[in-house]
Amino acid sequence: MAQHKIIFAGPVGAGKTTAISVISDIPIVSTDESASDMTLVRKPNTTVAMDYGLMKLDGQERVHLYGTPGQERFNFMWDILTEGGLGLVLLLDNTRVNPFKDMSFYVGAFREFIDQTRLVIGVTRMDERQDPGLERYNAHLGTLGLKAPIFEVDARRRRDVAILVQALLYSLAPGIAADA
Amino acid sequence: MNTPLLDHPLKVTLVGLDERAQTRLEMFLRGRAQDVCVLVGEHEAEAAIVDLDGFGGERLWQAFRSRFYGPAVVMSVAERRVHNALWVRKPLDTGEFLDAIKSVRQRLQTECQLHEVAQAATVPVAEPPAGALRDKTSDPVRDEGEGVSRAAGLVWDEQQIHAYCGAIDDAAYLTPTRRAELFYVPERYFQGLLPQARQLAEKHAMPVRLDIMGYTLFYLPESRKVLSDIRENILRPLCVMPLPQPSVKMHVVPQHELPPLMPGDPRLHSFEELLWLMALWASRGRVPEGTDLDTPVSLSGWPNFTRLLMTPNAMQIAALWHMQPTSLLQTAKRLAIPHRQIFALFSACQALGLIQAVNTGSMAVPGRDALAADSVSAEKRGILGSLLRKLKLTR
Ligand SMILES: Nc1nc2c(ncn2[C@@H]2O[C@H](COP(=O)(O)OP(=O)(O)OP(=O)(O)O)[C@@H](O)[C@H]2O)c(=O)[nH]1
Ligand SMILES: [Mg+2]
Repeated sequence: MAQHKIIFAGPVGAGKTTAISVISDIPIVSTDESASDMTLVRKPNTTVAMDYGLMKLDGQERVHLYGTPGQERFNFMWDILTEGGLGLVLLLDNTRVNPFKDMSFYVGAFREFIDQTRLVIGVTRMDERQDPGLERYNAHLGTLGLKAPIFEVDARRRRDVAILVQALLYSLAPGIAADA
Repeated sequence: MNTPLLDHPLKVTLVGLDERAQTRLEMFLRGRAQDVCVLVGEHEAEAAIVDLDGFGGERLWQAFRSRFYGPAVVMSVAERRVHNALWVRKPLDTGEFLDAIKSVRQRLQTECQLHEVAQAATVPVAEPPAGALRDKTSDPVRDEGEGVSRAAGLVWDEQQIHAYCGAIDDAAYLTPTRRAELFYVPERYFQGLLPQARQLAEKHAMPVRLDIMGYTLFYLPESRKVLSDIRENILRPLCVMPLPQPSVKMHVVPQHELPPLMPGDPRLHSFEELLWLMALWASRGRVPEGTDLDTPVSLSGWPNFTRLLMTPNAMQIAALWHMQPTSLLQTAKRLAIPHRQIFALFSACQALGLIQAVNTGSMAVPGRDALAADSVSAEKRGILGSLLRKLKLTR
């Protein structure tokens, strides 16, 4: 049986671990460690290898959820994780100094994967800072030659994450019906 | 004004009165005003009488206002300007007080009439709209306050769908002689006023006050929010009908004329969320006049579906427009869904400036037919379908 997986990526603290945990059917398997050096100011825990979650579907089908580590020194993991994935969920933190730079970086790093599949973007922490708004994220993505659904997402809310992933699925095939 | 008044004594509740003041007012209400109003508890009340000078008066009033949206008469010794309430001077003058009560009754009367308008405009009854807008998912993390901002959520009940997508039958969209039924002029509706208010506010960098048939809201340029305590059962009727020009007043106001705001005030609404709803209410399955039904539709960005009310099949439609510009009529054919859902979504996207002229550069969305059977394998479609079903379930 084919492996189905969805990849979550984004900078440190964008909410990858949290997002996977709210839609996973199993307790998330995480390799969080106390954050050292650069990440310490922002949060106590950071993912050093990857996050793993699972959604169980009717029958025996499974969809695996992988979170890539946010810290760039772990980027050797990224290629391995995306192999065979359905698409990329990119989470960007609206309170970071330059979230557009983050967008360029991650879109660049995962470009081949995105071109083969689909991309959706969730902008987190908009409750903490309104600006820049989604319009500017859309515009910036346009300068990278891409179009993708971009939503405001609070990674702690299951509904937000579920809508983001739904958009990924509809982007893969607008004709699919949930009530099949 | 000759509008007939409600045929029962007005049910009022008292807020912020100390015991002595309350006894005096009760005596007064039982005497001079006995046919005019009766005292009831907060949950039954149609209106409120508030003493701003009482112990904790101002604070009590603010707290009360965040849960009670009905008309209110506020009393104080010093003259006050209170947003969305009638002020009367203390000590009470019987005539002034009775006039205030009369205005309250008239206002309730208008609400009833507006409600009838809304009922006539949307097919079956969509009651009770305020609660029905509530997000079905329970969310321990961020449970928003009452009011229109709760709108983000799936439309799950048939009657609500009528309120947002209308009830125009598919035949109307396919019959050239019925074309007139498919168009509306957004500028004639509340939908058209909100962007005007924003423009004015931004031009002057000052709040703008919008008065419509006795209801008031403000656009606040700094936070880019709308301040309004108009309940949905009033707001909707105000949005579904074209507004007679003289009933609308719009002007800039100094900051100090705004009602005081609490942190996380439930009366603050996102401009986009509100405009989106207003456009859906006005459109009801129609599109702005002048829209060409055969021109491919393309999106400059997806609507922010985590925060906007999601109409039926909205994601599917957006995905198609996003990847492969498709005309309104073709969209219905290709996705095999009712035209009204597509037209309603188009109007809401248009209001938020998300509709783009086609052929603006070649975006890296694969050129193959997005709906072609072979673009995704049958096995994968099965998986995507069941994953979708699962994600749509609320826990
Ligand atoms: N206020 C707010 N907090 C959020 C939001 N999304 C996520 N968080 C919080 O942000 C913190 C960091 O989230 P994580 O899930 O650990 O982030 P991560 O992307 O896994 O980070 P790394 O593992 O370090 O790469 C958590 O405490 C979340 O609860 C949001 O939209 N608003
Ligand atoms: Mg993590």
